[in-house]
Amino acid sequence: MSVYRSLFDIIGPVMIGPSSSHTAGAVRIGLVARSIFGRTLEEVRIVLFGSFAHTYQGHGTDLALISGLLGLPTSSEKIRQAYDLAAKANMRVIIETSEDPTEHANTVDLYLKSADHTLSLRGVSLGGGTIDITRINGFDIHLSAENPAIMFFYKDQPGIVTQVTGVLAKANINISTMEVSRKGKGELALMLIAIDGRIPTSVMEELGSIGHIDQVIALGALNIEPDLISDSEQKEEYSYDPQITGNY
Amino acid sequence: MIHKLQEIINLCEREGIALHEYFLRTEVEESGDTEEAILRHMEQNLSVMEQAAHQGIEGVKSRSGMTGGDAKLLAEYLQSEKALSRSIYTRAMVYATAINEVNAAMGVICATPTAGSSGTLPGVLFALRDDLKLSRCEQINFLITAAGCGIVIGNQASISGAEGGCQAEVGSAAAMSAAAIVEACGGSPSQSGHALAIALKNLLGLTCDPVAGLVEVPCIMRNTAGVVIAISSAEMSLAGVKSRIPADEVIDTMGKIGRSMPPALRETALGGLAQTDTGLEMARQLKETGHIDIESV
Repeated sequence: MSVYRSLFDIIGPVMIGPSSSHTAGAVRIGLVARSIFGRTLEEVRIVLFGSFAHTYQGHGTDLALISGLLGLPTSSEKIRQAYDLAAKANMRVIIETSEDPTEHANTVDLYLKSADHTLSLRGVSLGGGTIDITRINGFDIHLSAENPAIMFFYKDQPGIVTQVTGVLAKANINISTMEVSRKGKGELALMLIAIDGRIPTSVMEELGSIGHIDQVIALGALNIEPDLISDSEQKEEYSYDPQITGNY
Repeated sequence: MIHKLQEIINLCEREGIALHEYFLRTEVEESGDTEEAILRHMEQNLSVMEQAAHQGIEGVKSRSGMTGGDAKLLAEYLQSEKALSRSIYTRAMVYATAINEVNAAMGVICATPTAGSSGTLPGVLFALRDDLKLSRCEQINFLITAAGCGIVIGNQASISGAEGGCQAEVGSAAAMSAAAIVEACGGSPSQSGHALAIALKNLLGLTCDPVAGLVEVPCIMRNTAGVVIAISSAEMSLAGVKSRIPADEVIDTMGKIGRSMPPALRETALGGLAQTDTGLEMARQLKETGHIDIESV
């Protein structure tokens, strides 16, 4: 399996030190979680495993995860003030560590909460800032966020996949990878489709109108990060958001 | 996507192209971006490295208080009459130390391939730039060749200290750098392969044992040492010395050694230098006061 495909997976990201896996990768896991959640966060419980659990203070992994959840890019100098920024955003943060064994050394579970919505997600930082989201609401998946992707929560039914791929085919959108996972026959299912290029809003609306689909979430590609050197303050903040089309 | 370095080298030599040309072409195919966009992005990353080098030579201090200021000392020493070698080696050491000190101080850096190993590759590049008067375009090509080799290493073995120890970070950085130096000096793709193999061989088995879990001790000095391995390996290959073990087999070996390393030596701070009396004392101070007073340790 090729984890690294782009030159910029190796020469990059541009980031705040000190660790690409424990700082930049953690920011990116936070950013993806924020995008999937897609609404104002009131509380997050962060459970760290393995090397994350043992060295998070030294690496600022906690600061990095919180910053990602707040929408800061990996290169933001504001990462150091993450706790203050979270307090200002009225986001409650709970940090826990666990000795439970995990498949990869740098693993974190995030439990996101707002008044009417929850999301649980497992993120793994593979090294060099590359990440893999391996679990969402109990579904086993793989989301690297290297390419744009569309995520569907729906009721397991015959024909859903055909309808979705039909809409994409009609819009001339190419599918690069696809994963389907379900809790049980006829129960809640998750479909993850990585695509080439962006998803027009009209296509998102059409996908959202397919019967039995609860939620469609469009995710941008993660490696599009702002250039801190040449850009202004405002552009630095929440730069990842425009890539997200949001929930329908 | 080709996974073996030897296949890439063969293809380049068959088509008469340089490694950076092959890697740029692949990036265009994989990303769908234009050459111009990719080169521009790489140049932005180069600018970040330049700024970090500059900042580090001026002198920075990490938040823990454990490291900082060594690049400044090295730079002053280099200017003095005392300096043993006023060569590319010492200059590369200054740059590498500077950039990794900025990383430890939570400054802005570009991961090459990781943040913990962000000093070695630009350290080598900037010393080479000073010596050979490399143009900006040649510097970008250097980064592309190094990055392409890094993709191969990452996919065949690892570039993560938590997975493979420091050999996967500084080892990979030195190997990528060695291959890129050879190309910048007019060597063949095959010679780049030998340089990569020699550099990585010389760093096999290097553990990741950061004191107090911070990317400071011994990380910064390992970046500094990484440049010396990178340059010496490139020199050997340019002289015609060949690695008896092919590059792809060395890369595989690095991955295997990483997987057989105990977790204590893979970025957990539970072994190696992190568990020395002094290392533990510094960890204790950090935990109790949030700061390390190096004079008292």
